[in-house]
Amino acid sequence: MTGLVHHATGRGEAPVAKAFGIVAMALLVAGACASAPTPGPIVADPTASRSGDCEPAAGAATLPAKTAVHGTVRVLAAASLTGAFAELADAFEATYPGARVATSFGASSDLVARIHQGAPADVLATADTETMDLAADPPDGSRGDVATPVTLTCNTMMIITARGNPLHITSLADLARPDVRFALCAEPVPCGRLGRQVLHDAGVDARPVGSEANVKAVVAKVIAGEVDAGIVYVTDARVARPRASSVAIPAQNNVVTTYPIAVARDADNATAARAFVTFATGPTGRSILRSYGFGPH
Amino acid sequence: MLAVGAVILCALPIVGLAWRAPWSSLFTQLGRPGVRTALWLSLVCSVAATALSIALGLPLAWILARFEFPGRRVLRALAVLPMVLPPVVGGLALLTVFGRRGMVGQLLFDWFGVTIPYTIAAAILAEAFVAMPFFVVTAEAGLRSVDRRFEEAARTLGASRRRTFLRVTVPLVRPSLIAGAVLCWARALGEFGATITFAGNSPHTDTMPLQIFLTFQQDPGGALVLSLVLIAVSLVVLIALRERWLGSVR
Repeated sequence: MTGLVHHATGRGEAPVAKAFGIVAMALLVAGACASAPTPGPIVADPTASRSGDCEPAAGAATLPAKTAVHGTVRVLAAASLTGAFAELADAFEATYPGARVATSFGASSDLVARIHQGAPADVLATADTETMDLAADPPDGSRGDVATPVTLTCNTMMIITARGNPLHITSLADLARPDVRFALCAEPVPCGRLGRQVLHDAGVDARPVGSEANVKAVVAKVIAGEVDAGIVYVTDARVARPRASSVAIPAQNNVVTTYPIAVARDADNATAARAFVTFATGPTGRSILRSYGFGPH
Repeated sequence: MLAVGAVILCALPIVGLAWRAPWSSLFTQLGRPGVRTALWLSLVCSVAATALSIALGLPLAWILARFEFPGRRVLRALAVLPMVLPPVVGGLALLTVFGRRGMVGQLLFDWFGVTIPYTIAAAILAEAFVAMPFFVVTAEAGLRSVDRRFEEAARTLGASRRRTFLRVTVPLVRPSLIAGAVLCWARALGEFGATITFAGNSPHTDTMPLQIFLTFQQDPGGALVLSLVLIAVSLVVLIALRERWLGSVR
């Protein structure tokens, strides 16, 4: 799992199908989840009970037949979805042998800008609804680049530090210490907006030394030792272990971000795109995403 | 016919960019605080990187041009390697040396508490790394073409080596040195890959190319306007250079 972080910032294509086992396992896990829903999830955002709309409603849409989906489906997804979507792509290809998933990962804001400039895409998944709204309803007044988005999953923030946390960073307030150099994502990127919001809500006046292009770049700078800490998604902190340590952000200071997914308006392969969205928001998608730490906490 | 293809490939994207750019918001865009810092930072860094390239590159060019020694070819190849190296690789290479865990960077941090990435020094280093070969190559070519009899005459008349170099050689190769410096500066101005990899994004390292990259995610129109500024600067430099120092090609 951790190996996947290596092509994090790149735009690699998912390896061609291999994992029937994963699907089988995923279905088992999904079954278990469905019969025993997580009791009393901790709602990180106190202002709204968002765990309800944090994940898609179970069993709403039905998947098309095995033979109905073929060709390449181009999926542009937030950098934080790198590991989960690589696995999801494998599972999708295993379910639909005629289909191939070409994934491309990057900052959500960058993906939206690229789609708007006409980059070929069939599916878009972003790390927050604000960025997806820019694609659904572009600020320049042009026609939307995606059809109506649906909820995919959700995520929260976490502090990551150098391995073993040598500077003993235990809270957001520690990021304001003069001996601590930390990085966030750049402001247009969802994780940059969320990281700044978390600091602001906690009343911590701390300036990052770096504002990286996407969340994986923040993780990379922490692992490389260029910065002492960073604010990233819980899921990225998880993938970074054990090469980086992590420090939880208390729920009252944390934010929950909802990940929407949508079919691109100009999708060349709309059938496969819709199938992929249904698959990702279905039981297999949910269990894969949960195995990476997405979903209600 | 293929020449038409070349023109279309090179010129059309520039025309397209100028066509699409929201000219009406030109001044609003240029007035944005992030943009002004980026412009200023770009100028400071590119000039500093050029100065560094001249200070280190001129002696190197002189050695490459004037001395016959084993390994000269290898040395020249190493000196111009950054010209053909993908800049992002250069950035990674710089990190392994000057990063906080790098060979030199570790010592700087342990002894002086100094970290280079995320500082203006990092942006300058990254630009110099990528741009210096442009100066070295041009300066070396110039030095090779100098009529050495002038230098010999100066030496015979009792001028020291240093004085000969500064008062005879440098004036003779001045056009090459200026051309090399301008090429070097233009390359430094546009540097992106090594800068973002080694220096990272921060208020001290966000030069125009990095600012354009970030602005594109938020405001594609704004990114086009910023690109126009860089294109204008590059064009002015190129035209001036052609006319004045590179000699007429017509």
